[in-house]
Amino acid sequence: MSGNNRTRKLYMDGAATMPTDPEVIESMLACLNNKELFANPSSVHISGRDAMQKIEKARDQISTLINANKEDLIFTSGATESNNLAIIGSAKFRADHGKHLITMTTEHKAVSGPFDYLEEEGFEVTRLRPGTDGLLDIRQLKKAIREDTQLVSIMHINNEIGAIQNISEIASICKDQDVLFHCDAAQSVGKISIDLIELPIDLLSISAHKFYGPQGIGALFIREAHKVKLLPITHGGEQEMWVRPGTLPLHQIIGFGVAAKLAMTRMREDLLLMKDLSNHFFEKIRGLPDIFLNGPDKSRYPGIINIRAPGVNGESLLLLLEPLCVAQGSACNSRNSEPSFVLRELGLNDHEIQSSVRFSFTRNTTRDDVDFALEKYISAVNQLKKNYPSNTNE
Amino acid sequence: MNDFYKKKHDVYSLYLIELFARSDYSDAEDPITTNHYETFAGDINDNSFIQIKYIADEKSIKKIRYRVIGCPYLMASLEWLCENLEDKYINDIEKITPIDLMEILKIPSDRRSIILLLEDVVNDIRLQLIKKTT
Repeated sequence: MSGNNRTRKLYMDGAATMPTDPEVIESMLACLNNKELFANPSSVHISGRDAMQKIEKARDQISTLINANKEDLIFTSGATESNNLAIIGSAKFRADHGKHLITMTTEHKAVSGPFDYLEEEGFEVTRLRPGTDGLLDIRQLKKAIREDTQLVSIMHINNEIGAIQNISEIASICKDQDVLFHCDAAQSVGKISIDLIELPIDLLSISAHKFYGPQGIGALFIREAHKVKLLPITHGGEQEMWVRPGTLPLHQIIGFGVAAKLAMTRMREDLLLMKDLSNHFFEKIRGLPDIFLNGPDKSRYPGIINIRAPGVNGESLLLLLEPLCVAQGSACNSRNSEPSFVLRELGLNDHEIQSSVRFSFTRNTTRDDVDFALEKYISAVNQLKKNYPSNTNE
Repeated sequence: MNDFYKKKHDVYSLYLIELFARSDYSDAEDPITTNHYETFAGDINDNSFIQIKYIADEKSIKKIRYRVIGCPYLMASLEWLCENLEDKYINDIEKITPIDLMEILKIPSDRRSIILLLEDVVNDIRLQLIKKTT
């Protein structure tokens, strides 16, 4: 259905969270409704072992998705916890290897936050800036690595602009220099192929709800996890190899596993859909004056499109766009009126940042949805521009 | 008004959304083109800029319109301000206190600069009209 007569909400904020897949919901409900399957997976009795069997099945499904050893995967509450555990846990564990850490200025706050914390704890952090396209110049990384560098953390797909970093090359450089490499892959796992047998990544953060799984569950891949490589940041139990204590949430983990299994079968099709929607989007806005893409043209995940229309206020634009659900930046930062730090790092000024809107598709998005969204967007931009102050000398 | 605006919004009050959506005093909808006064406030580079145009005689403001670039709080505030200035006697302008909008529109304290812009505008209008009548 196209046109302004649409009365239902239209969700285009998949980078914030994806709708939970019906099969995932079904699997979780089946678990919650199963009177034989409620035990604590850590219990040694038969019910506990039944529950643990389901956990291990899910662990297997998720590790298959990223081609990793299932023994190297631990469950967390989501990517934020995984990032905290990976960065703080490894930096503290390996402090005798050196206290120099490297990250990028455009990382999600779930990564920059732990680095800020470590800086206060006496670590030295180098924050590499991207180019105007959001991509890291690998030469910068090579230059930044020192004798005392122990950890590099760079995200795979940027949540605001969709920039895909060359993690294969980054991982190789880190491996050659004997530096740990952590990758926040919250936006990429389940959407684009990741092969951890091929990629020498040491630590990788995963979030279930970014690929149609449930919220509140994630995982951290720790290469050769049996060789203890990080300190826990929470204490009080032996679950997940003592690294992440706490009762494992069975129904969420089952849903996470099913989402991973579905991603295996649908990833190619999903990616083709994202490419098609992205191409359609750009065909529609081609030729429109004063609308610009933020971030890279190439090496961009096609499901995330961040555009700006200088001369309009993004917050007003967002309100005019309802019932279209889009974002001005990271959902984790959207109630803060501060301009996006990611867009600032691309060299945009406040005026340009404020006029930016992120569209991010899901596997339920159609070409008609894109047509409707753009119709709304263009009409809202024109409405705001029509009211632009005139005859100013500004 | 878009039906979705009528749903409770945890960032904006319903009254703010109503003012934001209606644009009765927008110069783009019903422009003032001749023999008018004009005042500006704000900075385009800060994404907060106001242009007020109005027609007045010796006694009152006959018609007032705004142009703006800014957030929903600023847009709604201008709609409120123009509604409260149009057809008002010049002597009554002093009774307009933009600071009240903080409460009326539930403007968060980090957006207080909006009130300063409105105060500048009201003050300018008052001075322009005093000059006209003296």
